[in-house]
Amino acid sequence: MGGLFGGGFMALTWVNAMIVVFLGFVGGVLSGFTGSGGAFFMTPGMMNLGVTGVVAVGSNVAHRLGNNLMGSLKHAKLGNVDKKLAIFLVVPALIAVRVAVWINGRLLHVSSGHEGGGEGAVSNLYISLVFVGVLTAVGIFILRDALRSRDAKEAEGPSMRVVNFVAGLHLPPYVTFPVADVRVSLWLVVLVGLVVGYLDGTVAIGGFVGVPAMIYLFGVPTSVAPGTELFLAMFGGGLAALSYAYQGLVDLRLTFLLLLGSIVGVYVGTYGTKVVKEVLIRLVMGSVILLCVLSRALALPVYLRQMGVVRFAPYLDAWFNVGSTVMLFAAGIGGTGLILILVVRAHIAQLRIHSTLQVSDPGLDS
Amino acid sequence: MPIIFVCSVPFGGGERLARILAEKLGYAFLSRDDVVGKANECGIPVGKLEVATVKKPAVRERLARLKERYLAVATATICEKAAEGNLVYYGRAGHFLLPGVSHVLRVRVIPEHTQRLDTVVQRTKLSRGKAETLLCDIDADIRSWVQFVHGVDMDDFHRYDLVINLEHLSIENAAMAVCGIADLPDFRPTPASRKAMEERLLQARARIKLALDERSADADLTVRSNDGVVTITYMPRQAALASVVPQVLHDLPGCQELRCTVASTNILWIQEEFRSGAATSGQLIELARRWGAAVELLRYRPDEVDEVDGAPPPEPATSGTKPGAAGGVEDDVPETVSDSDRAFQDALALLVHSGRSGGGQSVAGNRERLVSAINPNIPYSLVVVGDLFLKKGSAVRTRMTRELTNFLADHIKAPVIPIAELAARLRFGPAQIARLAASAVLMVALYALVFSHQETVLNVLAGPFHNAHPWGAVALVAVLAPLAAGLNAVVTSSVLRLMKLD
Amino acid sequence: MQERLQVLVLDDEPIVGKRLQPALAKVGCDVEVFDAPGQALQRVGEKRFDIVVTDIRMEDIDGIEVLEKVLERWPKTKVIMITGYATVEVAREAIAKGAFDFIAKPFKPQELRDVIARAAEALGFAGVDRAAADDSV
Repeated sequence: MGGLFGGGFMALTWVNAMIVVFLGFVGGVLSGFTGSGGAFFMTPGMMNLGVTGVVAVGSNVAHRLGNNLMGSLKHAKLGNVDKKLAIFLVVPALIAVRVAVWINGRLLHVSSGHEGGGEGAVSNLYISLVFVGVLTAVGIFILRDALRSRDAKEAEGPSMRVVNFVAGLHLPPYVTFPVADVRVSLWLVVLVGLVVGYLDGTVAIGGFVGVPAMIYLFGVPTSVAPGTELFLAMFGGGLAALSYAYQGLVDLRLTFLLLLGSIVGVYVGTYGTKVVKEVLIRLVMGSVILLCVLSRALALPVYLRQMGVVRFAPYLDAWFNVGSTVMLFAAGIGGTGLILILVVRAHIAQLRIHSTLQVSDPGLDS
Repeated sequence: MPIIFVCSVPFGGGERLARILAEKLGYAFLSRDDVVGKANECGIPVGKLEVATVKKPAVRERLARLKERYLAVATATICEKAAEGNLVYYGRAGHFLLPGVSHVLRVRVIPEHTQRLDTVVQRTKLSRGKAETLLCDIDADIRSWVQFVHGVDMDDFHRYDLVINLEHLSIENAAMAVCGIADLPDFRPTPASRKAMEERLLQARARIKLALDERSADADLTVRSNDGVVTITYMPRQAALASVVPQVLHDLPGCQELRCTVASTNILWIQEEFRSGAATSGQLIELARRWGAAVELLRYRPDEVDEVDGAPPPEPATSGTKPGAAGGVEDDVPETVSDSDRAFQDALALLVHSGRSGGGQSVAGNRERLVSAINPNIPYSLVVVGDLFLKKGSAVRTRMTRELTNFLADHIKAPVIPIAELAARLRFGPAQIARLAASAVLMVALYALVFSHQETVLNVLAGPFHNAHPWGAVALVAVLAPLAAGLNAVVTSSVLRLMKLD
Repeated sequence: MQERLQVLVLDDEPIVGKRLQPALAKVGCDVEVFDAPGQALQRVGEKRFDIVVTDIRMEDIDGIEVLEKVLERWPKTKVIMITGYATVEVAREAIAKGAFDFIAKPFKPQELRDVIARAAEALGFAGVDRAAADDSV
């Protein structure tokens, strides 16, 4: 391949263009289905195609620009955004985004100086490591929550101990947020803002941490948390996208291709949430995330070799890459396929139960 | 005689006032403790709600089901007790349980602080300072409890008929004053408000039965009742309930008919007249079918027009305009069924027939009455305001409908739209086709442009041009990425709408 | 030497103690169970418990009183209240009087174990077996 400019941009063929559209579609379905953004699938997918990690992240962030804008406007209309909370979160998040983009940009230019196309290897490794680290935790969290709530009828929440622990901390000053009806320590808000901003800037998966953090740490109602997070993503993601663009790390072609698939996907996924049980949603989401993590972990040795940290024959690169790609696509196709089947089946079932069931009880009329 | 609701924060003399009142008037006395006891008897752990209120931040959404059950038990307990005779109820905010019931006297008691503190110190043997903090915490908790359970601000004094401040008034004298007011004709039960209460009771009983039966205990159902017809809606993913619900509710007293509807969302349709053959009923079913929604009809007759233009109240309760008494369902009370009542029933029947009924009710009165008739616990995805104020001229009608729409939008959590807008949304006319075509052409052009000039684009994004003018890439991304997203969204949603899949 | 957490469980329904005893012993607590408040208080007079778990609504002596008596005798003991009839008022009173935490019935043993683990931490028991409390992150 070899990039046209700067090494990070690949040449597009019909085949890999279609693959990117497909990545967008799967990402869209997962994102609509889970409501947390499909970056966890699209970014590694593009990296497997040979796109430099930073460019994959940059293009992905840019593709969310429009969506975030529309989504947060819709939520704001419904009153699902706590603007005060959003503003308190946005400030640290923006700072963290800048830092994250700066780190990413710097690492890209760190030349590992070893054989075998080492440029970008450090950066790729860094992105992959953050990805694997965060999503492993998220995936396990979701899966365990799903498995537990399946047998416990009135589950108390995934981890009341964390909630209680945080509630027990006393870190003034406290700030009251009227829409969400919560009172939270300023420090906690700043911390969450920083983490979300950093993750948004580094791998575009801030929503995975932001939404649960708001719900479980702040006690924000589940109707308000996603709206507020989208609002945050609008600024955080926007800044990240533009910062990456400034550094020349957004491949607009990839962005366009992703959009082509993802918007249809989001519609399908959103419909899926209406007809599928919540436990199942979580199970699918947790499993797909963990498979994505495994796939990414398989790609790690390649970067390490490129940096000269570990040594093995370069021809093995191909094997790791193929393994990683296969696993990722298996996860994506499996997850999306399952959702599609469920959607179609539910649709048919709904057509069948068309007539209202009427039961009269004449015995009680008198 | 009215049901008297005395509400106050604890230790504030409210309970004593309520007891004295009950004794003076010879009414039965019921308190929150009785309701809580009853709920515990039914196996509804109300304590969890209380503890969750104290231990914030908790994940309160998980308690929504518990809350709903508590509300059902509270409603049923109060209604059953009130059915036996006159009643004084003491609690936190019980009157919110009976919206639409007009023979309710809502009294809020504001305690005298020093005395309240003394009571607490004496009862708990805490130091004054600690007792003060304790009271502060309790008050804050109860406020947030009322907010969570009833969704209203307890200290909003618009929601009471009478606020008694015990600062200058002894409890005995306050009780005397309330006695006098309770006697006023304004608070006497009307057939309509009795009927409203029966409906509340029926609905609450249905809810409790469903909650206590293990087959349906885990389901999130919407329960409505109107004229003895109980409508249960459930999500498509709970399809197994179709056979369970009738079994569970087969011996529900007062239930004349049971309707179950599968729906993934709820739509509320507010309109004054449901004339048969009107275009609206077609629209309604079309909408319901597309969205997989259950449509609830609300016939609203703004008879007693509120003070907006000072119009004289036209036709009082003469022509059978008893709210809620719209049905030809009852056989034992012969009533003349007006045309508009029949039209309403026909519209309902049409919905039932197409499997889209979410129940129906009639409301008359000012707009506050209308808002109180809308159940805040049902997550409507859309509230449609149909043709209203039919007796007015067209200009006035437009203005008043618009005002009502805005008023509803401020008071309900769901999006509220007038019917004209809905029609525009559903229609796929030439304008929509033009829009789709234009967006599609633009999109194709944009994509063609970018992909046929990849070199140039990449040059601006990361090539030599970028090195010289990095802001060029920023501008390009900032403009083109949202533009492409927007065009994509328009095309996709238009195509889906064309396929009637939105 | 291995220090074990000394726990007293008081509930007038014997089944509660019977169920909690093994659940707490599993995580390395020495548990004594009582179903009569009088006896429990007498025992508290003799021995210092690290943690006292008490029901609130009981026949002769109520849980708030137990709380007061225990703290009077052993100010450092952590008292955890459990009750099926929790109200905001009682919960707040218990907290104002120094209760460590408040759990509404019905609860899972794990919930109590979590609270006990926290109490142990507050007491400085570093070595409390948290293995069974592992479902928190």
